[in-house]
Amino acid sequence: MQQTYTPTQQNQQNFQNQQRMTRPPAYITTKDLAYLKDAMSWELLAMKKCNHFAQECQDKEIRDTINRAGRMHANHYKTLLQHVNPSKSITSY
Amino acid sequence: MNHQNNNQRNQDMQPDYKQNKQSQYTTGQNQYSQGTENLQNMQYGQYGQQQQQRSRNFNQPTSQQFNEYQANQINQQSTTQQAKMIKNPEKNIVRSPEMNDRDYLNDILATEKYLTDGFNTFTSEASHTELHNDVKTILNDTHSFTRDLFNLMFKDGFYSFQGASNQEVQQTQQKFSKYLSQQDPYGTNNMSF
Repeated sequence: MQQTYTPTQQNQQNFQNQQRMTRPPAYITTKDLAYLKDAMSWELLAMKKCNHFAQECQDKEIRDTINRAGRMHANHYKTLLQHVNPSKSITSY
Repeated sequence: MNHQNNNQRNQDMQPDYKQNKQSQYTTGQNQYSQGTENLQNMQYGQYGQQQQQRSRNFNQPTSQQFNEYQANQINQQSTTQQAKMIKNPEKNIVRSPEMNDRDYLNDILATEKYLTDGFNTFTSEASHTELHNDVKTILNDTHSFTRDLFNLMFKDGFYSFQGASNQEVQQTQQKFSKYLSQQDPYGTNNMSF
């Protein structure tokens, strides 16, 4: 049985009129999670690839550029990982 | 995808250029400065000068004497139609079954493009604002880097472009100005908006 989340759920007695959400609350949805998993997999592959290619490169400028890409992907991975946080999950199970 | 297609096309289109390459390097300065002049006519002069300041570390010993940013006319022989090529001399790359620097750059470029496609969809479909904004930033960063990569590849001569002819541009301008004057639902065709 699925429950529907509304902000009035816990404060039902306090609010006579139903309160509307103007924006989606900061919870991770099933779709968000699926995208986050995909995106982190892409970033991980990309950073490993950059690291590997950079080691193989002959030219310094090309090597440095590819290394810069690798570090960017590592940073993006960390940003995404922050969103995968149990405290942002709406259900306890 | 486009870039890669271009790339492939370049390789096909270049045999003339490659044969002439050695002689161009040795006869040198005149031809190259002519190339720059062409470019300046094509309004790219400022960028060309900016690029000129940067020295370049690659194996070709003579390369530093030349401007980095040149337009080369590939089919100089053809008198009827002159195709203006926007292209740098190609960096020396070992051609062998092994992957080379150019292959690595191309592969990373393809990866970045795959990522921007994915993040574009993710940006549209993220549920809450914080997630949407973070993913949008990642999308933007990835795009910027992809552009840097593309610029590096252009500088190294892995990409070339053919300038559209003045006549064709003019025809398109006239045609689409006419469309606007006939069909503009907002009536803004008098340019007073």
